[in-house]
Amino acid sequence: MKRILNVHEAPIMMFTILVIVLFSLISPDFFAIANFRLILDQNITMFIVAIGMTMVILLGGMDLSVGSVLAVTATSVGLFLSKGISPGAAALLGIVIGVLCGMVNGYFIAVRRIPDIIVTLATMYIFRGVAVGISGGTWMNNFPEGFRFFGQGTVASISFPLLVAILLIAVFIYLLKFTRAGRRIYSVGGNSSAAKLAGISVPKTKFMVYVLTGLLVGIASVIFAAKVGSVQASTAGNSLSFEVMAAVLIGGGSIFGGVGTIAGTMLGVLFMGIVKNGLIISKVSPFWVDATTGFLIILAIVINTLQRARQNKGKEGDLV
Amino acid sequence: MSQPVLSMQGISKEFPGVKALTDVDFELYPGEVHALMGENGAGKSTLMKILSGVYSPTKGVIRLKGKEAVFGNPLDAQLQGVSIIHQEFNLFTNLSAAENIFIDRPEMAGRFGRIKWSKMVEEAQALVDSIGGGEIDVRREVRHLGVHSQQVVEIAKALSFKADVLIMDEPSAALPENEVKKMFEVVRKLRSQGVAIVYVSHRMKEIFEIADKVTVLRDGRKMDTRPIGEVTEQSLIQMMVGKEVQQLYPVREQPHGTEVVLKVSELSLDASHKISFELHKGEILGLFGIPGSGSHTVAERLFGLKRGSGGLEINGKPVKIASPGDAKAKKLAYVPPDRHRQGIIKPMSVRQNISFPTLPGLSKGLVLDGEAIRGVSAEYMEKLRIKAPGDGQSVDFLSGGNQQKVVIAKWLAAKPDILILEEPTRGVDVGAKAEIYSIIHGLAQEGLSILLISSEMPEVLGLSDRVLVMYKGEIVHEFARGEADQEQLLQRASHPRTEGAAI
Amino acid sequence: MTTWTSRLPFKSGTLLVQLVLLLFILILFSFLSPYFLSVTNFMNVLNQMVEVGLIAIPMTMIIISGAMDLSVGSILAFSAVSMGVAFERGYNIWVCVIFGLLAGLMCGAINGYLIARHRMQAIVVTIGMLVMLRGLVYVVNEGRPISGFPDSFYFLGQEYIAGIPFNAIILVIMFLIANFFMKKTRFGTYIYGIGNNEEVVRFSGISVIRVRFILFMLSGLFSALAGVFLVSRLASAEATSGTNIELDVITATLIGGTHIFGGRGSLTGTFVGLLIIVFLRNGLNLLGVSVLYQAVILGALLLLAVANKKISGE
Repeated sequence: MKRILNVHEAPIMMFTILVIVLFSLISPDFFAIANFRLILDQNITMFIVAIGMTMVILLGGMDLSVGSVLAVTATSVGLFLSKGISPGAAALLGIVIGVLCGMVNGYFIAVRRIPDIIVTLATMYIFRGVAVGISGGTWMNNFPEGFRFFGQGTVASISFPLLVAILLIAVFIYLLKFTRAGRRIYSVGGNSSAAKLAGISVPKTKFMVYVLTGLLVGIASVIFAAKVGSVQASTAGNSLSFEVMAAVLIGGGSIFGGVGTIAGTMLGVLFMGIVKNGLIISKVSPFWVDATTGFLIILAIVINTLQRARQNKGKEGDLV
Repeated sequence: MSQPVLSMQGISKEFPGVKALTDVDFELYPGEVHALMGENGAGKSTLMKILSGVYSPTKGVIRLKGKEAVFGNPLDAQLQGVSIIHQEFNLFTNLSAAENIFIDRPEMAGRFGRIKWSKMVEEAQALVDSIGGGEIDVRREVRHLGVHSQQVVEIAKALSFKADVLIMDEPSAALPENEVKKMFEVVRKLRSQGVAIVYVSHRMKEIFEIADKVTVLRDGRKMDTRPIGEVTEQSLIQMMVGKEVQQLYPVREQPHGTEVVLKVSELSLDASHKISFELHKGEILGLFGIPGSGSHTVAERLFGLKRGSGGLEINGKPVKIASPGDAKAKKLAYVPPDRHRQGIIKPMSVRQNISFPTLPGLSKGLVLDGEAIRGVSAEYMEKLRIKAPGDGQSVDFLSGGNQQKVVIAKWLAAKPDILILEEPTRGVDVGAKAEIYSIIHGLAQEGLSILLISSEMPEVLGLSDRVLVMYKGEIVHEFARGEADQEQLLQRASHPRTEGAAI
Repeated sequence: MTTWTSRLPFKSGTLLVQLVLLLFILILFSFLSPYFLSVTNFMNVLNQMVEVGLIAIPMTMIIISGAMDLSVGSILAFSAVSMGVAFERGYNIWVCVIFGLLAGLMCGAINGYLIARHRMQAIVVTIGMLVMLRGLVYVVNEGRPISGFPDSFYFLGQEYIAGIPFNAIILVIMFLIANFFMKKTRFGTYIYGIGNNEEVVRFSGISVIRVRFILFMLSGLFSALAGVFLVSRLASAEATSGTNIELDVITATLIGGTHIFGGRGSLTGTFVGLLIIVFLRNGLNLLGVSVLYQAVILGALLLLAVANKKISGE
């Protein structure tokens, strides 16, 4: 029973409930099944990408490039479709491209040991440029009917993207909690020198995480493209990296690595989604949404730092 | 037992310019607690590092259970059955105790790397229980555990590797008094299970309580190995303590002043420990303690690196020091123990390092006064006889002794009234030591008041006008110059204050 | 006093490599584009490099001190738009300029407070500011451009003195002052000290907090100044101003030899790095390469600069 009431997720649950109550009071339209379904639906991409970002942040790393990877993958899928490749094959190829992008990040970070922030800052621009390049600067649309299923279809009256997201969340919760690979991520993020001493390869673990993140972004971008029905390479997923990062940090992930859970992150995404939706439904200027995201990132790092300070406090009494 | 589980024969270790170990033999039998003792710099840590796979010996053979063994790295040593528990634990504080013990172990994973959580928790709990850690819930994250429990987790981790040999480095230093007993229980349990334990400690009381045998190192050589019943505290100390090299220490020509320059009253070191003492003008006051005594914290508190409560008076005036900047303004200076991390900025030149704390005084308005900077660095390079091709030389290329002199110089340039020196000769060669001693002596003669915090007994005894002995956050004894020898000093430093002991 | 660059043994030769790279770019584009090698084009380049250049000054100092500021582009826009909005309310343009600069200074102070005082991660804090300020910019002016500033104001960004753009002259003067500041004042020494060994600086009785705080304030101020010059040059304050400018700034700084982990670097190097970036962009523009492709090349250059440094640094 104790496991269920894991302390990590408790604060974010409270916050979420708080904003739900708040927006319900402000706007009568907010507290409705249809609206909640909308919130889930609008944030499917975020949910999936956030799984990857959780792992990256667990390592103590950061990935600014996920938005651009999304753009490059979605655009390529669009391109494949326009060349008459079947929807399934196009989706698969898109995912492969996501993985390749992850490998590029992983190579520079894990193998060449360049700081993740510089690598992903650079690839953020590089992938974005490539996306615009292959799209020729035009909108990608007119996707075939079969492709739309990935974004809009239903299976047993449940939306297909939601099913995919739930499946992925379940798989990665399992992976992180119940497999050696998952536990290695926690150990490297928690104490990389102890991990090395335990025979865990830090570069391999990092590489794996960035590749998995690429894979997840690949899947997310197929859903994104199919759902929206059109892709503009220069804007697709523009602020995704920052929003997802905020969600992970709000969901209890520590920027210093080693602490955080997928469940927490999912609540973080939900929280961000609710705030965004609530702001719009409450008829606040939509421009406030971005400002709020930034504010939440800062709030998250403040909380992060406070938590760390509190943890360290107990140790200061030592006389050595 | 007839066969040693581990035997080291003729182990030597050389570093560029230093011979850390010379021809050391060491044998360890199953089910014994073998204390390893020696002064700082005697070669204990080098021997431990060789034993745990961090260093490989320059010469000599290690045999494990009769077979010659080579440890490529610490993990390798661990897999072969030799584990070490450092003073600072190497744990994943974000993970459960069970996981810390069995992280990434193939035997705890099934197909597709599935973790067998219940098996892991079960075995971890059994391991922890077997050494008397029954109160620990191995499913809890390590950061929620106390120091003793964390230590138990470290030991359990070592045992999980089927450790035959367990090295414990100052295991009681971080523990409060009541938990040391619990730790002893654990050690006894291990001994009864046939584990051979190397117990490295400075604390006499503990050695006599827990050890079966003791080996003493001095100057990189083994002095002797004896059963604990055959030695006394006195004889052990005699073995550890070398002949004092009297000529290293200059003789005081005139007595120091009587006015109190620094008065420390009820200065808090942590929540439960406060100390008080006085420092006189031109005095060298020694502060000696074994690891965990809190002598380092005294320096941190005085220099504003750590906050707490308590009163300070400098030259009769109460002062408040909340930051190193405050301390500097109040004419305090601090030569820290770790010059690489706290003393010198490596790529910078000798001149820049010497002038660093005093740049505001070496500027004309905002602009640095190059001439004044050169002047100051030349003055102190000459005064302290810093050997460098020029003041533009990067300190990185200087010898340890000269680097240390640069750190002293940069604080002398600040013209302090009170100089705190912590481990002023750590990692410098004998020649430089003598030079630094004569510098310290000369400064005191000039009227500078010096607080000398050191774990090297000859140095504390040879230089200080008075020596304060600390044990676990308390000043337990005070010696006047010439009153104590190393044996008495070490004896006082290894015990809590005894009834009737004069302060 | 001898300079830092000659003082540090590992720096020797790096500047030469950068100059060769610059020369290579100049020669390459002279062949590729007939318009490239002309006084008009060169002056044009100088005129356009000012914003990136101004921000690169504090960025170099911040990276030398071992941190980074990703919020510069958003601070630029926030200041520019604040200035524009104030102008619309009818204030004198120079009052508005000061208002804009104060806005930037305030943003820098927030960064500095969180990063220096509370030791929060510079990258995350400045990313938060990046997103938040960009959002606020849209909130403040609802995304429409503000223009119609008085002619006297355009002097800053559009006037030429003796054939040389006024803003470029200002930039060079700023670089000279900053260079002097880094080499000849204690503040500069402290910055190098913090980048190499923060602990020693603290143990020397110098407030690391104060130095870091000042650096982020400077970064805010210079970003705002860049905003003022940008508005003057383009005659319009826009919500998108300064987007992605951090790529140019950081690339210029790192190509200029500043070490990503701090402790080493110089403003001279950054200036050459700046020239490399702007001439590269100009050449690519003349060849008709799209802005986003330019970002690809710059991103690659950034990776190359750091990867290369890693190898040579060891």
